[in-house]
Amino acid sequence: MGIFLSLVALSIAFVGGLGVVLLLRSHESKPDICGVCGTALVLGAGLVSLSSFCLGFLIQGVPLRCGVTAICLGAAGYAWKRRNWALPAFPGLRRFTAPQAIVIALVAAQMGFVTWLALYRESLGWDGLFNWESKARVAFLNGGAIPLQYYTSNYDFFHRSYPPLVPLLEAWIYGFLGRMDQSTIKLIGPYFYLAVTLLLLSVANRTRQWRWSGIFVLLPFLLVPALAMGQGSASSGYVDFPLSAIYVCGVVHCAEYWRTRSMESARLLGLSAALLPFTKADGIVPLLCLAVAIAPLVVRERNWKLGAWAILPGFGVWLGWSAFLSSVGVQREADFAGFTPAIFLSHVDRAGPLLVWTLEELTALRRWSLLWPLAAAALFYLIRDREKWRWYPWTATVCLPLLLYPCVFFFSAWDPVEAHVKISLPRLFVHVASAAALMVGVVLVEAMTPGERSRSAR
Amino acid sequence: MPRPRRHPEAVVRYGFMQEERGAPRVRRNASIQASAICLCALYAAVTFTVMARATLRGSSFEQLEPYQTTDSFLRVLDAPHPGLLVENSLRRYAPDQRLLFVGPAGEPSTLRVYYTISHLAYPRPVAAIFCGEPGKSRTSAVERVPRTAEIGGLIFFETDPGPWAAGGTRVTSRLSISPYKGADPWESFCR
Repeated sequence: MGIFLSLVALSIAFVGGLGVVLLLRSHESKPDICGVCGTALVLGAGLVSLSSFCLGFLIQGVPLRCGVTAICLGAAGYAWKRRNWALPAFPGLRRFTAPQAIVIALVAAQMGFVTWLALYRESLGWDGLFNWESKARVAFLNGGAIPLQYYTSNYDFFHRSYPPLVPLLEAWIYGFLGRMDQSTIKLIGPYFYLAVTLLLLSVANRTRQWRWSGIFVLLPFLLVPALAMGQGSASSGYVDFPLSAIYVCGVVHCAEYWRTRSMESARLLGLSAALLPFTKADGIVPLLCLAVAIAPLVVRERNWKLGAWAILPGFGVWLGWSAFLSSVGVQREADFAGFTPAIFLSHVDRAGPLLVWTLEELTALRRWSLLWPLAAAALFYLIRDREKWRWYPWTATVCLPLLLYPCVFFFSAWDPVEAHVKISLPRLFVHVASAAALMVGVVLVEAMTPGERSRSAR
Repeated sequence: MPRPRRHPEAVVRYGFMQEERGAPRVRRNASIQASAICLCALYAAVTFTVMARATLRGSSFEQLEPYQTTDSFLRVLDAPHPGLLVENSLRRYAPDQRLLFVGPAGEPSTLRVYYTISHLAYPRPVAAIFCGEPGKSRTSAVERVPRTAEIGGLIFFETDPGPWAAGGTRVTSRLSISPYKGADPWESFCR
């Protein structure tokens, strides 16, 4: 029963996300069931959390749950009404081929495995319980909303400044269950795993007409051990995998914008990016990378509308969250000594060890298997491609975070810094791993279908 | 519209891939494809080995439990469903009552037990005093409440409650919770 009610709660979030996606899509765009559903899963989680956070200051308990449900169902209903109550047609579903059957079997097997790991194998873990579930607990005991008193009181909680997207989603599930349950909230991991899977399949559908492309785009993602098991994975209670899913949603729409220049992609990119700083404080790094990825198009084409849609929502949420924390007097965590040039210069001797630890992490087979060596090869393949700029968005979204995340430790206040790096770096790389796997998948498909190269490159 | 069929001899097969014979760079493309397939196979082999080892090594939860993680963190208490047990024991204390956790500084699980109990005790603030042993460990404190504030209850982990045992609850053989009213120095509870 607990699992069923949790699925009902997550389904309402998905329906809300579906409404948002359909409202932002243009009527002319070609329907793509995987892309629509994958994006809806991501944006739905954001819609529930953001509306719970904002409405929670006004109403709590059953009215809050009804209000958030009304927003989710209302968004979907309004989107459907705008389409004159017509269901979108998905022509690809009418033909059912052998590769599709293999993809469905692969996805079903992997989803089953990840769900089993989440429910029966892995606990929430230290951070999952104390940093994230504890906020969900506070929210549940206060009628589904984190009270303002939580931030203003001197009660010393774990990381009060951490953003509440995942905890509020957990509290949303608790609201449907009517009690706290540390095992059923683990379904959030598989929920986001499904979102990434669908988004990757949508890329496969868009870029190539080759019928085996779905398998080859998906395989590099399904084969990353750190995304399925261990700290920060989809089966743990950490928010690193949800952040990875949100980031890959942004990357998929960023790549789509580079390919099609459609404002629909820019809008979906902007909304996905807006959820990054509301998921984890580290979300500012992937947000910056998405901004860098889209910046040349904004500047070169003087497309300020694109900038407004794709970049501003993310920085707006980041600034809003920072302003909120300042207004309630919550200090940022003491893990970092401050992001100033003086601190950087005083720790510049960390460069050598950081490089070594980063390389050690990227070549740790038991966590990443061959993902990062393959990502390096894929990037080399893209750079030597004659198509101008095609390498750029992938470099900005996959390489830049890999460079920025280790650099963050120049500012670490931990002594010794090695402990901070060894605890945090593997989880930080989880944020980028899904996007890196997507890049490997896209290049694999190109390598397998050289005849279609010129068509898909555009 | 049906796609025009190519002459069978104009096509070279590579597994399920096919290339037109005589097209430029066919051999090179075939080698790229072969490399891609080999890399995928190697990637899959490494991952399956890693994940199979990890899956076979650990243990699983027998059933879904609402206190799954807190129970695993409180396993040292040697009792079934310790999370629920602790939460029920703390219900007798009002939400605004301050509690003090007393535990040995030298015991590796003390910090984990303290944080877990503090998590379960919400909204009651729980401070802690970790009692050191001369020559082995130092006494330290987590000042989640001011040291001068009145304490409403004492939580003893791996520590003899002594005179404060009266009227208290022995939750398990390693944990007891006692009502208390006062603001004595926290170190005085170390025994």
